[in-house]
Amino acid sequence: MLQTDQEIFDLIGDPHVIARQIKAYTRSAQWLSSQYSQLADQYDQQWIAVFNCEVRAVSDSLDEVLQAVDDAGLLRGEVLTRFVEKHPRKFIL
Amino acid sequence: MIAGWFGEMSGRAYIEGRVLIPRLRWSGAVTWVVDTGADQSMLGPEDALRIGVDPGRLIEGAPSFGVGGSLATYAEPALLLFVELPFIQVNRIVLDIAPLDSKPVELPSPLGRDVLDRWRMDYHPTANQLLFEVISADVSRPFP
Repeated sequence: MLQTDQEIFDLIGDPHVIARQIKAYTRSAQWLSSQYSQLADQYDQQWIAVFNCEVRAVSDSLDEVLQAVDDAGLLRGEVLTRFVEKHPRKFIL
Repeated sequence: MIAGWFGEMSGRAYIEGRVLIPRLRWSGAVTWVVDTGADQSMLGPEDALRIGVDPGRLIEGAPSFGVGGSLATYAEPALLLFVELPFIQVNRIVLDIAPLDSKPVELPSPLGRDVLDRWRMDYHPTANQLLFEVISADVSRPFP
């Protein structure tokens, strides 16, 4: 269990890297949101992986999409995955 | 201030951050759904699978209850990181993790009041404005 601020600093690493990663992920998420209709038309009922605002993998299963992400040498933690469908579900969380 | 955003089709309120699970060294970026109705934050099954969660290594937690019924979840100490320049704001929480075989697997990851209660939120969808001010954090890591 992490006890000190320094232990946490050491674990989280360089703030510039973290900020860059979060910014890039946000850009991809917002791009996906803005393109959702077109993506759903093209990839209805499929999983897609998005990296740097580009669809990098498509499959019927999340496992296969994640495998494709691995095969492309991308880090899963930096790649956005989404199930896209023409009629998105309503969530009550 | 931390900037969130609203989904163009769904209208949901989102904010990106990074999650670290120190015990198991799992980490990744997450798009959280801002959920003031959630007592605790939860990592949804799709995000958990994506960042490499191995259910065999998780500790069972108390069940979570919602509109759809109850869900047996795992519980893990985690660090949630958000960028509020000139800091990385770190929240130490016990993160619920949904079972990886939950349906639907695309269930979003809600950011709950274990984090939101420490922020002030400006929620203004008609102005496309979603802003958060961190009132308190467990650790504030300054940019060097």
